[in-house]
Amino acid sequence: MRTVIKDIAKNKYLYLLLLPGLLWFVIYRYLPMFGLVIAFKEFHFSKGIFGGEWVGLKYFKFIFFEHRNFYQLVVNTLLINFYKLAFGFPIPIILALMLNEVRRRKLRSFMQTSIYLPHFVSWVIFGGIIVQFLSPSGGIVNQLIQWFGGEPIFFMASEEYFRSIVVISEIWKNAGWNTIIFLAAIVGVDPTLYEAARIDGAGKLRQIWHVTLPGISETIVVLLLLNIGILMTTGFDQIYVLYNPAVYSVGDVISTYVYRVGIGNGRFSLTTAIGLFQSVVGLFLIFTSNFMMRRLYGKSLW
Amino acid sequence: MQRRLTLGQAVNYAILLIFVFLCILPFYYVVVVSLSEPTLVKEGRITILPQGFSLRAYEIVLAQDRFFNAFQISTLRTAVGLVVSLFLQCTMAYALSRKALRGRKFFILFVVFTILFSAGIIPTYLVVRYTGIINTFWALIIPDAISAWNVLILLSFFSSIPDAIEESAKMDGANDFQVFWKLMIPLSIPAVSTIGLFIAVHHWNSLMDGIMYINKTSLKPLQVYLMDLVMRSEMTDMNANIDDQALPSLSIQTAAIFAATLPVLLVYPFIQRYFTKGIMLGAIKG
Amino acid sequence: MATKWRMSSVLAVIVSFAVLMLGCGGGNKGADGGSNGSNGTAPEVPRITFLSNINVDTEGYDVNDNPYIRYVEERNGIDLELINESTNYEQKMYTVMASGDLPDFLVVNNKNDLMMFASQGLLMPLDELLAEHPDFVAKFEPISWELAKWEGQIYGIPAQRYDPTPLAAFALRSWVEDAGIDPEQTLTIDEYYAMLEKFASRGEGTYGMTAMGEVDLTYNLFMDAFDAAKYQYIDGEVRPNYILDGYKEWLKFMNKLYANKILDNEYIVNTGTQMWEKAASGNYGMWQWFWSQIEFETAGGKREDIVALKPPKKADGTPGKYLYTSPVRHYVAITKNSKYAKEIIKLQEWITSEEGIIYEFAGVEGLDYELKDGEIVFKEGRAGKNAGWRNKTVGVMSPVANETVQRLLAHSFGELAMQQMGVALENGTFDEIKLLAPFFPELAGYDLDAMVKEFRDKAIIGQIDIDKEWDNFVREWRKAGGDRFIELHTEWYKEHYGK
Repeated sequence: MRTVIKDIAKNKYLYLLLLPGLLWFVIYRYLPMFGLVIAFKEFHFSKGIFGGEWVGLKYFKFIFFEHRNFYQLVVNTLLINFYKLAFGFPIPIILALMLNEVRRRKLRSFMQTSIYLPHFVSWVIFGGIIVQFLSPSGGIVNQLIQWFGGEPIFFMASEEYFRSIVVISEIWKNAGWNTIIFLAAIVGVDPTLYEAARIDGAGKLRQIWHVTLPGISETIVVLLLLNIGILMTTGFDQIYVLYNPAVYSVGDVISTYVYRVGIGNGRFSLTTAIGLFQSVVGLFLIFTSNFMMRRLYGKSLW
Repeated sequence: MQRRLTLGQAVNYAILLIFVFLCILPFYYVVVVSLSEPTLVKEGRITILPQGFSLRAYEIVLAQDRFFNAFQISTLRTAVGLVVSLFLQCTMAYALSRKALRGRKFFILFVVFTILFSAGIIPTYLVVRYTGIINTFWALIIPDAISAWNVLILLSFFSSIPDAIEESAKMDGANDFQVFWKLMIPLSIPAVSTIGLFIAVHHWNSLMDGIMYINKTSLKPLQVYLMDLVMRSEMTDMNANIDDQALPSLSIQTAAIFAATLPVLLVYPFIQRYFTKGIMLGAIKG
Repeated sequence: MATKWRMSSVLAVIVSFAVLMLGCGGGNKGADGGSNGSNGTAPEVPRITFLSNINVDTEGYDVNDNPYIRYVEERNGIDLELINESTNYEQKMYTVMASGDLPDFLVVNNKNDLMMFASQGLLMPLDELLAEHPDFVAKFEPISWELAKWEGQIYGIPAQRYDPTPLAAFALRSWVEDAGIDPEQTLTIDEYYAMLEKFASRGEGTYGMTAMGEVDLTYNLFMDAFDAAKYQYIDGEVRPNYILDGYKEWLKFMNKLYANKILDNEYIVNTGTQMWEKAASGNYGMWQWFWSQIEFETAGGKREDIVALKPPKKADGTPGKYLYTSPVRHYVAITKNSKYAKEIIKLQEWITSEEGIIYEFAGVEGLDYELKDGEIVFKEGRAGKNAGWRNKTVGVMSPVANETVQRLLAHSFGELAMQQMGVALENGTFDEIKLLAPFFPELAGYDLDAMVKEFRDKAIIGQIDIDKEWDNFVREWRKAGGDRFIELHTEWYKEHYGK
């Protein structure tokens, strides 16, 4: 105990720096977590969060055993997020590396600004654009298909294509914005290392592989692990705007189900239980990945 | 510097330019539609040029005092929020990056946990209310003041600064706070600016906290105002006739997006330079 | 170190800017909410809070400080404080109701939410208070009051539409005439099909009808003709319409329209905007929506170009009807501990009085209209302006389209619209069983509606063979919670109808 106090005293400025943020987390993130108890109770408006009768695992049992296809929702959520990660995670990195090679300042600046523009277009509009692009009657994609002699395809209503549409539209919209963090990381790589590599005879690609990537690996690891941790949650807006009943079987995810059940039905205990389930799975995922990351590459989040 | 374009560079440019074109397209569409004559707004095709020219949508979006009030609120919250959030996030991230911090792993997990577990809208609302900031300006600043995501990213940046820097400063008699403020922050300008950008954009685009925590019209931020405007244009009104203020929803939406995004576009080029500053580690080592 | 200076100076600028703005903003921020504090001489004026989903007014009024609200407050001797949220209203409502900081009264859009709040003790039962206003109560249809009841007591004042069944099918007049059809007549299903087919074959890219997949009110006009619009009591069970044989036939009919490119082949992804753009484009012959056709005209269409059609006849020749969800648009509920229940009810009574009707449909004298020889003469461009806004700032609305209402509406919409409204009113119907059935919270989690929609859409666009898959669908539905659905509804039905 005494060593603990000695340590704190010795590093008191560090703890002082930590304190404000810590306090904020306790009040605004951990204190509300008491509300998670709703998942185990029958939520009652006038009895508040702590009133309401205890029902234990009733809602968990519901989603696992009574709901007709919760399993399908989980699969859709995981698959869509997994594809987004597999295809969408490397792209901002590659883009950042490519942008880094653009020497002309103004051109580079212009490019950087342009690629983050779609991020600011709301999903409602962006989704509308996607739907038009893919329209079987006038959309560009189908016009191209017909030009090559094919038949128009109603992409938005087809189960085969829906997930790809979700992934590709996500990349189109957000890859540009996501490059920013990597650009900042690339800029932080010690330039003398490039010198050394050049002297050793390394060409551009080898320099990138041996200098840049290791130099930004901390950032990559953090972002990768965090994204894995949230694999069980999807944003709601994109799916809601793009989906329709004909593609429910591949596109209906946990968040859209929660939306339907939550509004006009007020099933808060149920939706909280589902949220808890997603969090627990996320915890498991991030712990496992962190562990593997440490074992394989010696880098980890904690 | 080479004058001629190598093959590699040419390919690089080509691919980038294609991607840039694809990214400009949706935004261009937004601008074109917002400037088009509303009754001619045809969603059937992507138009290259505005169909008829009309500032009607912008008149509706921008003309009111309400817009400027909402704009003022958003600007204010972005400015104040930026300072508050940067302060909280940088101090915390820095402390967490120091190996000397006892219980470091625990604290990092403490932060990570909040990314995975969230209590939901109602309990958070109750806490915000309990801390007395409901329906005040601070409800736009404090409940969202720290993004655990940002803290962890900053942490990774601070961790990647070589230990030698800190050691040599400490040997010169600096304490942790001085190392942080005078040394680490200046060395981390790209990271701090990036996070600063994220914070600012997040505040600027924030919608839900304005809906949930604010009742007073005078405190409603920009996005809430714009969204209300869009909702109105989509309403089926039983009693009203063709209100000549009513425009197709698409016109209003696109004008709203452009009005909200323009400030970001104008500001970004000026702060971009902070991202391109390299860390002159070599020089400092000496 | 130059960077350090620049950083500090940037920070300093931001902070001082912020302080400046806060200083200036502080002045503004003080002067809002409680708009009528200005008179200060009437401390007994009750201050009543109202949670509602009003939209922003495009004339830039502050919701609590504008000529309309002042008029209402003045005429009723109250100080009304509005808390409004139009985006995500339900979320805000739940949060506010759970916070313990209850408003005096609020708008509740869904009957389910009203029942939930009532059953959880948040609302005040209104029977006793309403007994003091028998004339007011008599203005509403008995069924509207029924809908607002929980366990025999009334918990909300229903905002009954003056146009209880507002839907009709609208078609391009010239196309209808070219097809040799008299718009006044009632068509059979086959005649409807033939007409739509003629529409579709008029030229390149023309379609018989367009719709919006998400909102089935845009394409349910044929349902009643197949006897597939309402829940029915068959073989001792209450069965929802979507597992009845008639529904299967309806699906096949819709599929035929789709497969033959008579129904807009992209209807399931149409947004509202897209549907109206198509309707106004002149390439689509028919659509179904509210008689007011506001969206159509906003998209550039002209009312003179369209006619309201009557719904198709059933197979046995009896008239079919347009199904609408509910005669009650929303409910006005008073919270349990409000001290102003009497004033609130008086306010609702006021809005249904002649003066209230004029306020709601015409506006405020001097601003929107002038009285010339006792006649209302609208000022330039003010007819109908802000009517929707006014409607939502008080609670309910005139429950009947009496003479005054019609006269004022005619000003805004025109005579032709009145005639079309007549078509909608005379040919509409409700699903009584579904309307009156109570809210069963446990059914919500089963998400049965999603399942029904999935089958419906896939069937119509031809992704599944209806005949082959029908029995399977019904079976799966029952297994997934449908049996419980039937069980609960049947139990209630038997009790309610004394079977």
